[in-house]
Amino acid sequence: MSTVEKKVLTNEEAMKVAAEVERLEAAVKQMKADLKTYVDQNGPLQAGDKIWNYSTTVSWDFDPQRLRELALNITVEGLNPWELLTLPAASIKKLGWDEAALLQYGNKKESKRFDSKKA
Amino acid sequence: MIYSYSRLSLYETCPYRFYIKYILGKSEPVTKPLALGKAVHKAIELKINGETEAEAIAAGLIEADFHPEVTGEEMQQLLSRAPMEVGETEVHFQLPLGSGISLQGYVDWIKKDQFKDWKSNWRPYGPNETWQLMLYAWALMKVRGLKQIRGALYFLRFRREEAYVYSLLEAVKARDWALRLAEEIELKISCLDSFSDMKSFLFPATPGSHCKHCPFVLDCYSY
Ligand code: SF4
Repeated sequence: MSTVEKKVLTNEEAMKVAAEVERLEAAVKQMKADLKTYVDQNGPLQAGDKIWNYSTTVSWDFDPQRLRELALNITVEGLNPWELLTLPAASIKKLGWDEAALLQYGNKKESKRFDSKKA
Repeated sequence: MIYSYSRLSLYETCPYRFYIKYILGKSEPVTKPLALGKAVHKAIELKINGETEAEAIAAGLIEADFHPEVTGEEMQQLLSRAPMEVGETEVHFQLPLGSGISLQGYVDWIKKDQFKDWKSNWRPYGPNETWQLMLYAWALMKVRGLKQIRGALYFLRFRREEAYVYSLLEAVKARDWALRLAEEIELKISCLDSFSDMKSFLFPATPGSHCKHCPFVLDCYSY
């Protein structure tokens, strides 16, 4: 049985692939917009084993004044509020503390994401 | 075909999009940046020429056909940042480029040996990052018999001016760029008359980050 060999691109091929990804992503975006219009007019669409439709995502906005009370009530439930309440990256950025200051309270976690951005 | 900077630059970016738009004549939907640009240009022009702010904004909204995403508020913001200098506005030019080809364009503002192009872009850029300013400089020097001209891109959102003083000798480079592309297009159009099936060879799709804003992406992808 032969195995499929993993292709290593030359620089020229990589440039072509990168440009093609841009076109495909734009095409997919447009196709999804067209599907959305279809669903808006005709309701959910079953295509193969998938259903295209809207789904609802729920999020909560808590009043900053009442967070203390919220934390207290979590404790009453027998849970540690600080395991549930996390600081999102945007808030840490807003704080403006340097790494040394933050390291006193926790460890830095880094993850790599593969994507393109404006040069 | 009469050429303009935007036509030439579209051809340079993606010949296939140029083909669909200018040879097949398919219209592009009016996007918000396009509509806003149109509305704001009209409003600035009227305000410079003595209209009140409210009248200028109203006329701008009409000019943009009441595009749903263009708001009076955003227009007012941009209008308040525009340089209100007396000068001629929305000046049309048309002149021969060479080889029987004509170039035309509209200059937003001109006074003696200075001109400006108002921009509502979110990202400012340098005067010679595109050929537009230099090409307009060449055209205006030719039409008005000047030896030197100061051209500026005025980025309304940032109240920032990117200017450059062009000599005729220097600006001729932009004319050469425009003429080379226009001659290439003319030649390809004449080939198309005899070999219509060669369209993808003559006007190839050139994918890149610009595809993100291309209204013909599905025609192009499935083609
Ligand atoms: S999708 Fe991209 S490659 Fe295709 S016509 Fe539009 S700009 Fe050109």
